[in-house]
Amino acid sequence: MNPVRRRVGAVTLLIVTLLAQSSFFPHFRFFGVMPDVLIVAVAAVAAREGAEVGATFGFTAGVLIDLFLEVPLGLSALSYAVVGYGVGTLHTGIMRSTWWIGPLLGGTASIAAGSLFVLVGIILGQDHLLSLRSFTVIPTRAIYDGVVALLVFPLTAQLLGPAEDELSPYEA
Amino acid sequence: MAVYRRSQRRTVLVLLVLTSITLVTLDLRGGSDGPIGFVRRTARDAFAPVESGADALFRPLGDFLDGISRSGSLKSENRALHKRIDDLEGQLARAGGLDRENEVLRKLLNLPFAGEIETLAAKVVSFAPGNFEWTATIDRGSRDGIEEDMPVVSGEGLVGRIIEVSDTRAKILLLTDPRMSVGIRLAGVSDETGVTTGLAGKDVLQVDLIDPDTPVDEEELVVTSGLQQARFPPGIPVGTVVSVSTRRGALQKDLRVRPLADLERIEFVEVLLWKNGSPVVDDATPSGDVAETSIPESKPAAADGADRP
Repeated sequence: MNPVRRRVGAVTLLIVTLLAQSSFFPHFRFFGVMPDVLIVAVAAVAAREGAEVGATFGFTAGVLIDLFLEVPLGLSALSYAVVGYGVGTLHTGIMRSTWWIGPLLGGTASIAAGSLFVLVGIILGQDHLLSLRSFTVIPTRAIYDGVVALLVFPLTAQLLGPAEDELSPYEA
Repeated sequence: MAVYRRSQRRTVLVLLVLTSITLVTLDLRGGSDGPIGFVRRTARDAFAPVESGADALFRPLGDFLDGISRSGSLKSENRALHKRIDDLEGQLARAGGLDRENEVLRKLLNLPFAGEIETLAAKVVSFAPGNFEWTATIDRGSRDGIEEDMPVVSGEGLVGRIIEVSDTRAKILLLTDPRMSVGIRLAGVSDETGVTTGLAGKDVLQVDLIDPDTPVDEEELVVTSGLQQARFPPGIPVGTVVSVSTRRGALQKDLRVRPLADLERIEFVEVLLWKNGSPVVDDATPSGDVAETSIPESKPAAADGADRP
């Protein structure tokens, strides 16, 4: 694998998903809910690159999106980093290249990140997160994220290049 | 080797978590004037051109998809609007006389809001990129004279208030956000005051502190109360009552109000250049006594048709 290509790919993915999250998806809410395309990207990167890279990518993505939210800076960063680490750890044991892995990981990561975000937010005094709506938003968003993952996982594969286990014996 | 890598991975995670906690602490302690607040404002200004371009590009597509998903309700809405036009045409004939009466009453009450507050038009360029807050960003900032806590209205009524300002951008906390509370007055017969709170993105607001014996009609107009030190001037239309009920033994009415402004699709707003804490007419002040006000005289506010009963 070419490390320069991976880094450039990761930065490109971060910029594209950040733009989509802040400028595109707020116009495409269903039932008042928008997807969290950044957490899907975190799951996709973690699934390909492992826990360390997943956590670092998640932290960076979280800090950037927090700049545009009214929550304390670092709240999304914390939840994305932990979920990136979790997906990366999980992936090393069970990853298979089937089409449904993306939606499954994207949706699961979305639920985990959303729950952690709400939980830590409430502990930090963000009382508005403690509402019935939080419990309806998280699963709805997870379904939306599962669909979005069908685009984000292939995009991540294109930008980051082939993972180690996808290389032919000659390339490896 | 594997044990070393696992340990290294955990170290990275622990470092990232600690960094996150440090950032959260700095942000919470520093507030909007702290270093994190400065970074936020700078990032928003830097991102502003991209935001405007993306809004121009994606809003029509979003509106189109929204129209498709709401086509059923749009047909019934269309029928209701036709009926409403007929009603309004009848009312229009009577409006001339009421206008004059309204003007006289306004002079009598000496309301500081109506017709005197300077406003600034702004375009909404983005909405919150998350599911747990209800905010909108406008293309005006501190360079244009906008400050935190200024009220924001649309042609229909109150939209929210400014909560964050950078050089070229300002963020509005919308009425539907649960952190948003507005002191209101029922504009029907009762003149009762209460407080609305957003219900996390639902298209109705909860109203608290209304006495259970207060007579309230559905469709009754609700306006800002403008009590002393209020965040909003009096008389700005907020919404109309959509449901009223009283539970046995309850200390207040269960009241829901639908905002007049379409908060999911607002495109242009007016910022009232009026600050929280500006001297306003105290409700305790007898009518006729004029409270000192620093409100500049300029073009009328968008919602100046509203008035206290």
